[in-house]
Amino acid sequence: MGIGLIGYSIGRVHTHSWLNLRQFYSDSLVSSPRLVAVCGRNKNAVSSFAKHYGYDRIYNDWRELVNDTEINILDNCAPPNLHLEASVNAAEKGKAVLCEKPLARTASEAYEMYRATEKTGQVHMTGFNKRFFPATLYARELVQSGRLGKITHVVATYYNIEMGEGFSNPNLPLTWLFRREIAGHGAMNDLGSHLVDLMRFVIGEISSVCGAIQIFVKERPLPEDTTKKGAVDVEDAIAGCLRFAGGAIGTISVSWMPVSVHDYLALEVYGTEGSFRFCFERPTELEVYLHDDRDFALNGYRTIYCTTREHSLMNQFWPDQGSSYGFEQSFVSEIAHFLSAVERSQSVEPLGASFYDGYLTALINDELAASARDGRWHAIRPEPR
Amino acid sequence: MSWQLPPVMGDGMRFVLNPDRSRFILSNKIGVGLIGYGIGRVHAHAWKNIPLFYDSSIVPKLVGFSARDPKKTMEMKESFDFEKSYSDWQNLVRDPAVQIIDNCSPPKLHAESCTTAAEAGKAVLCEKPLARSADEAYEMYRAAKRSNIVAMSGFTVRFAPAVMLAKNLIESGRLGKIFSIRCCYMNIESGYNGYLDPNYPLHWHFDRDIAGHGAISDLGSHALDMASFLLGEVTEVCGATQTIVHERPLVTDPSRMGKVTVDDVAVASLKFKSGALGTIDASWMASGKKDYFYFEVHGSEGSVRFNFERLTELEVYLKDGSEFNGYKNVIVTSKNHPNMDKFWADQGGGFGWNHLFVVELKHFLDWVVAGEQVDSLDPTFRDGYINSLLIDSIVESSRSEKWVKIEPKM
Repeated sequence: MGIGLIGYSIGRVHTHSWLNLRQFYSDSLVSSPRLVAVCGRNKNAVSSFAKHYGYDRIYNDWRELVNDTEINILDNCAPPNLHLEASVNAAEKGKAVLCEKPLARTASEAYEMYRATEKTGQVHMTGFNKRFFPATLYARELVQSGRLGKITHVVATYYNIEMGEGFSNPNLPLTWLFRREIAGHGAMNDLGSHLVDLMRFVIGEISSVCGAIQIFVKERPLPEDTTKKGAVDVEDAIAGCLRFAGGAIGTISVSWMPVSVHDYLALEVYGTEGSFRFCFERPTELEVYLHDDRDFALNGYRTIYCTTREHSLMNQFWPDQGSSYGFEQSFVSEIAHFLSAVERSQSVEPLGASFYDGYLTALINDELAASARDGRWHAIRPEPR
Repeated sequence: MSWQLPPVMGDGMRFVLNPDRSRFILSNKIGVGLIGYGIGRVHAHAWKNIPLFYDSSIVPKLVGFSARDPKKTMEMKESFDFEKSYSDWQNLVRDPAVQIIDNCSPPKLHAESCTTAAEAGKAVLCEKPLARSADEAYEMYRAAKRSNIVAMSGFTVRFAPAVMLAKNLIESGRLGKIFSIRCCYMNIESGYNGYLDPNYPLHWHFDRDIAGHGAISDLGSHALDMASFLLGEVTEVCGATQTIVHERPLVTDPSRMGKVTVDDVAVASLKFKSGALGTIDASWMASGKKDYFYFEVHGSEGSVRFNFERLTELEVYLKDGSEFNGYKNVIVTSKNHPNMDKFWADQGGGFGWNHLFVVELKHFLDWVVAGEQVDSLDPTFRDGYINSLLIDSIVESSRSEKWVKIEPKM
């Protein structure tokens, strides 16, 4: 199966997964991935990346890459402004498409991607890797089986120390993450999209939102000339309120400003029969409280290490070992799921996020931003499939 | 110690230039032969991942694999693209394309296969525990020295960024004078019930002839190495070992029972040359523990504590006299933390169990290329011998009910 990659930032971990896939999934996958081509604008950087990982050839323009007939799968790790055109073009040329999150800059772009790709009949997937953790899958099972009763409250948080020091440093240059024209939104797209998708995946649909956004560092040095500054036109942080279709209410809090936490994606869910909490900084653990414990005086949250082979995905990896599932393994699982769907020409849903899921997340992000502008609650009214 | 790479027969070159420009486009390859598929699976994974994480002019190549079970041998060969497989280790060790023997077999096979490999001039990496007894381990250490090869003991946990940070804090004096260490390794080995279940079959872990000892050897070896690594030489031990489940169903015929000949639970007290004291707990009958390898070190100026179940964290207490004093929970995943820069910095679970092996094997590869030990903190066969001596002495102390002096042979 020929792989063509655009972008080599998060593309590095994708590449790592393609190369490791057969070690973990040789029993269930029919095909072997072959790294055909990688595309990037910086000639030197892309060629040394290709050399290191063993890509056969390099391109500097994605149009050439999507025309390469040896490529069966486009792995789109480019910035969001390149997602729509490249992904749809590839699908029209008969390639399955895995596209990094956020699916697009706006909901309308994302919907167009979904419609155009769906029309070609090609398999499509949005790269929400947070779905592929034994702990998040276990949490979803607890909610869906009714073990936690009716879900009443959700507290969702994603704070991240971007670049190892936090974006609070005003001297960090104005990279594409700070530019609406390329990124669509700020922290909401980069971090919040993970959180929104995870909530939809684990708890259910979000029906309306309201929010506030803030830009703390208004301008940053230009990367090409650090003596000059450019305006930041996306949010550094958002705080919002949510209503779920199932009746629960909740809050969402996202920021790339904190200097304290590293990868603090935390989800607390409260139900009438029990609760759970999950934090991505301890990705193998799920804390679970069950209200029906007989001995109430000794009741409390239990920490479940989701590392035994009985937990989803663990059997493919290293069961029963300390910290044996994390960031890296989630991509291997995600990509294995995608490849397996491609082999069978089946949708990646419900375990994987399709382009339609990517669209719904983009819509929620857009409505949160719109609410921050007009100060009103916004209902989520998606276009049909 | 200097060490020469063994000549590669056939083409007369030490390293073969990658002829097919296959997956990893790097110039020089060194042949790895792997024995055993238990922990061997993560070793194979790590060898394949070294070139993905590190820029190195010399790249490991999975040449041969050997194990007794033909089905598992084929699975390993398929999943990891080994060029060849063998049904016995002797042929693997003899293969001229193999320059490194990575020994992941059960302890019973360690001494003979490592010694044979050493005599054939191969570099040897051997899983922990180094051997079934201190005597066997000593012979292995001597054989490696005689043959002038590089030989590493697989004490993998040393390579965790959080452990290295703890070691740095101790060595730099930030924790002051070290008074004590408490170190335990407790789990149930496998699944939800694991070894707690008296019907768990009589795996080789329970057989003295294959394993040497039980929990004190499988888990305690890690704890004892950590204690020695962090606090230095141990001079005396006193301990107790206990078998809880005395017989278990045979693997080959579960209707029949076989005798458990090793310990399920072990405890020990340690005296260090520095004057510090320590305790060790090892158990594979620890309900509720998945992989609880824990240590805490207390010094005059501060303390650290570490839990393998939360591998990326180190709790650090530094006395600073302020009203905010307390343990800090340091997430050890930044680029500037030890061993972290090549991996996935600042990501949740960005360094995991499998990465420990990638670091370990890369360090060993550096030894092989240099012909001698490169990083003085890496575990040697001598460390493996002393580790086995500590285990034997704890078991002896349990019998004699007396403190046992640790007097390693040179």
